[in-house]
Amino acid sequence: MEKLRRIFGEGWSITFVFVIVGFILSVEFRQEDNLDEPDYAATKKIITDLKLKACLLPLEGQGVIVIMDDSSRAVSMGENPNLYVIHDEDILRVINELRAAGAEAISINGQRLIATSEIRCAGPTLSVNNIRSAPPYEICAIGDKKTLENSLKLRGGVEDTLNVWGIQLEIKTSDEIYIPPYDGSFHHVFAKVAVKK
Amino acid sequence: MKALIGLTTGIILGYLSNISADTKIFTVILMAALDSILGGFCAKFEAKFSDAALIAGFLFNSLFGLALVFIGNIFELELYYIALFVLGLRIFKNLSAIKERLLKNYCD
Repeated sequence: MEKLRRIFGEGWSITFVFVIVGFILSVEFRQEDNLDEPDYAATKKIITDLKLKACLLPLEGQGVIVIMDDSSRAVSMGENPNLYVIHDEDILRVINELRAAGAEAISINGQRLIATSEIRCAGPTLSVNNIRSAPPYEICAIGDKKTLENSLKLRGGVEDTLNVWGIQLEIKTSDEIYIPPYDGSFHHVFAKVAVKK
Repeated sequence: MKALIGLTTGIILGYLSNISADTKIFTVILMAALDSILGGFCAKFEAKFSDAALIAGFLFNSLFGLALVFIGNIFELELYYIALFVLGLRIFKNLSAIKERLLKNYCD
């Protein structure tokens, strides 16, 4: 104590305490500058990326709109009227064709198709993501609009096949297609995360 | 003057060093330091200032505060609020003592 007083004079304790205050303040400021900001940005980027992949973000871009409606052809006697209404298989063929042509995001009547979405006949209606909708069905797909349109209009392709049954298929290309995000919930009751083998 | 020298030295040291620590710890030490500084001023007015007492007070306060932070971290409780509360109370008490002293001097 006496030594310290001789070196620094009376009131050296105040100096010492102030050294510590300055040290703490500058370390805190440096931490805020260096660590926090870039970390948040990187994390936000990862979250946005994951949300995009999980179909949780609304998207827009060029693509096609396909409007499908039941056949307007009169059913003759003895014919099965089931042949002339849209079934899940018809929609699945269109969707499959669109996906093969590189569609990046697809929605049916405003329901975003995700990895676990079902497309299923529910009586006279169609159930997608457990939401039912009636014809006409509007299928929106974002992707290269030329490729998507051509993939549906191939000779002997989907449009030709469905036209045989009189199902009306209207294909429009657009530069501004909006696809809503998936707004349902995710259930993983039986599936557990495993180690990659 | 001494305070300014100390502050600049501390800031330079902190800038050069590569330490990153828990905010809780820093908060407690900062409050203890503020308490010591104001206590020192208070003692100066009453002419019973002592370097040893000030340093001892500062070290013991911050050590006990740190102990509270660590215990709190172990049990996941926010125990360090106690230290902040008591130190803050003391800071304001010291402040009001200084203020009264200054007022008295001014009125006389």
